[in-house]
Amino acid sequence: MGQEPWGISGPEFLSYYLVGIGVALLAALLVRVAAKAAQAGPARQLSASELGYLSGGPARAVETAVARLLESGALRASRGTGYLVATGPASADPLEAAVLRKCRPPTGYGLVALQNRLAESRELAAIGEQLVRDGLVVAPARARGFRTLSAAPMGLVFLVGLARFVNGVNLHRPAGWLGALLVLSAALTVLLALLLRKQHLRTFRGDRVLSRTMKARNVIGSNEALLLGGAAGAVVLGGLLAFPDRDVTSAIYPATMTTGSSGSSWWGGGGGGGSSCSSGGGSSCGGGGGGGCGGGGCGG
Amino acid sequence: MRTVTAPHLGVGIGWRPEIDLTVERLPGVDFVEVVAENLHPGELPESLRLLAERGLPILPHAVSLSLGGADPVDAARVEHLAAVAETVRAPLVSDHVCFVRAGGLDAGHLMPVPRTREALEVLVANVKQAQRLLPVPLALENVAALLDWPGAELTEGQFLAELVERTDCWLLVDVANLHANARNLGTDPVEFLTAIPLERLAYVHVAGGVEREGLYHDTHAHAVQHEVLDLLGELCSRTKPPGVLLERDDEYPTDEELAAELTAIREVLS
Repeated sequence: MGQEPWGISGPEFLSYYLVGIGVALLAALLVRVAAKAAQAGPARQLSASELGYLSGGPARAVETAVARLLESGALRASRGTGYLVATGPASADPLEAAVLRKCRPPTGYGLVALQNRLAESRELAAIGEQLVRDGLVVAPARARGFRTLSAAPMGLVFLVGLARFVNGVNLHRPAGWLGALLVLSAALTVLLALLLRKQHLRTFRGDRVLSRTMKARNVIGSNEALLLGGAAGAVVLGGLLAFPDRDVTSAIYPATMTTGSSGSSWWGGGGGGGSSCSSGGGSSCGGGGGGGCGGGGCGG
Repeated sequence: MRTVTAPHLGVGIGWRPEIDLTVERLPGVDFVEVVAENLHPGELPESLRLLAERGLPILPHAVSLSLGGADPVDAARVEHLAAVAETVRAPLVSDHVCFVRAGGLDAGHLMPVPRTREALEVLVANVKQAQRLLPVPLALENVAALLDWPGAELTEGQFLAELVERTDCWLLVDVANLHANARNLGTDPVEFLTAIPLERLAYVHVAGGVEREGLYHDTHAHAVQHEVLDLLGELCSRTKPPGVLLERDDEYPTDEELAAELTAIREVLS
């Protein structure tokens, strides 16, 4: 038997490699724990929009605001257009007020378009920054840094395995098992680096506050029950697809979108939406020929 | 053959795509009206299909036949209205006593017809031609106007009475338009209600509007004014209308406000 590459036999290297993958996973977990163990802030009562953000990020915050406005009648969903249009009443909640401003008649917005339009809004930014100050959500930049850090050890393991694999192939050594583990480490690196990057990251304190609030909403008379007792509670946890009025959800979501989670629809959602002009002819005196209500009026 | 009684309709609301879900779920909606030009025969929006399945009468309301115009009746438009009527199994259809086109130009508004014998002849001929193409009775509606053509030989009530007499058409009385004309042109709504053949009343339109700079605007985008409901009451003191329909075309308020307007109409009817 000739000299072993790098002085380590194939089976030995495979065992070390498996240990390496385990250590890299453990490191990723520790990094995640470190990220989530962020500094604490003062305790306070969160608004429904803030709880939506805490639960599912900016997209969920918008869905929660929409749910509360639909429930109060300040927002109307149309089955034919799929658009959301404000009906007149105002809201004191800044995000809900922003939703109503965007959904002013006659145009209104589809849900996805509305979420996209509000993604950079100061109202959502204010909620996110406040939740970070409260120690409930990991600041996005910090979360991104930690996620890169969590993927780095696995990436290193992959690179070492790749070097050994190339070397083995050049020396005409059997490398099938190593190839399989190489694929595994590559997949884990991609998973840690890419997939987790898109998740909204709560701190442990944020997890506790969310869990406690959602339990407290079942206590009759509690502040949480007042805030989340209706549709908003379901939507905070499950997105607008969990809105209890099925006619409304089927109006808001095109048929192709009613499968899968709406939780991260911000990034993954796509489809439908598009900003919107209310259907031709429907407004202005019963349409036809683009006439209008001006002057003497509709007469119709 | 002359239809003797109009179908009982109750209280209804104009179905519009923007408020489809609301209309489906509003309490106390007995029938709806749809703008015929916005529908494709044979392919109803889901909401209208649901309402039809519930057995709710759906009445197509046209805005483009231009029956008061000197141009020949556009058979394609009447045939479209007929096809929509058959799709929704409508008991009757309607349009306006007006013209919207002249000399190839589209006014974009429902223009009033001069109330002369000559104009009446044209209108009667057009209505009869449209009736021949329609599978169900035709009702015609009084419009709101900001101008009155000079040389009127008849009042609006007399004009409509003669139109009914000569064509057997039904009447769709818009009390908001009556109020608009009374306010803007100084016409007498009581004389109108006295002159028209109320036994040929198919149903009534009620709509909101707003007073600006001394003029009443029939916007269909504001709340119904009490003067309009008073006129409905005046009409109801003379006959029991087969149906009364709330029209709202823009600035749709909350479901509660729409429901309250329907309740106010019911209270006048009771």
